Amino acid sequence: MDGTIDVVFWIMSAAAIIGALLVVTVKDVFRAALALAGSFLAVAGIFFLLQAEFVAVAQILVYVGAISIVVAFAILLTRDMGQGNPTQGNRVLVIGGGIVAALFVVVAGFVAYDTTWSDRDSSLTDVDAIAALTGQYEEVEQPVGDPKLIAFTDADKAKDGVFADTTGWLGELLIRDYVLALQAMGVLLLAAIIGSIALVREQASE
Amino acid sequence: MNLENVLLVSAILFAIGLYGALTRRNAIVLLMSIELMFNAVNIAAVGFSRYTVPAALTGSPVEVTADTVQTALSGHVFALFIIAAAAAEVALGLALVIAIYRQRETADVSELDTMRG
Repeated sequence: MDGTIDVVFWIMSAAAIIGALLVVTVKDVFRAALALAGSFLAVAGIFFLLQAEFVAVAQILVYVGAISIVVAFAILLTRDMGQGNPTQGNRVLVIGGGIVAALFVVVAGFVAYDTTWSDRDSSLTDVDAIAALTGQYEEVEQPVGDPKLIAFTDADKAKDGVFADTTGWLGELLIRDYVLALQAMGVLLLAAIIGSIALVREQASE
Repeated sequence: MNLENVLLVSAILFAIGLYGALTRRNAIVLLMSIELMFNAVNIAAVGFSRYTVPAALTGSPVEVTADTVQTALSGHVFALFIIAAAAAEVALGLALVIAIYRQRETADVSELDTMRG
């Protein structure tokens, strides 16, 4: 089972990286937009493997469904297809960009592999904690006002550090701890929509 | 599949987006490269959320409450807010590109040098 997940993960990663490479290399801008949609889809697959099913679905809806379409419309509206996707004329910028990107991968990769991260699957020992993260729990009766305690219920179904269902937890988090950010995000989206309309609206003929 | 490999994939995607943002001249491709970088950050956030252990749950025995468990999901909330911010950003960015294209008949960022001193 673990081996299968590894194989799927590397296939998804390869798809995402190849799609991203196509976006920055292919000459035709419209094909770049299609490659971008493919890359987004592969990233959604990685989210599913990371047990973030709500984020994965949001990724498919927002990125693959909405952003890719808007980008495609913008390409059609600017009719710049003939010009294609030229590289900067400035050689220094191209070579410098390549060096910066390569250096970033080396440094970030070194940090990732050199740091000792905690691994939930092997280091989490408390049965109640594992149960809470896997959804195999029940809430313990507490006097009113005390925090809700969670207790382990089903030993057979417990897996290692895997969320059974993140959607309910996320919903609670969003309307309790992050409610201010959620409201601010709503205002931001409204402002962005009104701003875009104001920018692209045909000016009334003078 | 572990946190190191997830972070490596995230770093590679971010670097590709960075390269695209530095070297492309078409404004729409620039926006696409920025979206790639947003995606890389999301992968890292969700990966940390999946593999690290919340401090409240370390040690044994612990008193496990709903609050302590939910801290493990902060990475997912970050990713959701980044997705929403990216949607707002791409809508405004493309509106700007179209407005500039109407006026100057080009989407080539190296020709947009009105502000050059």
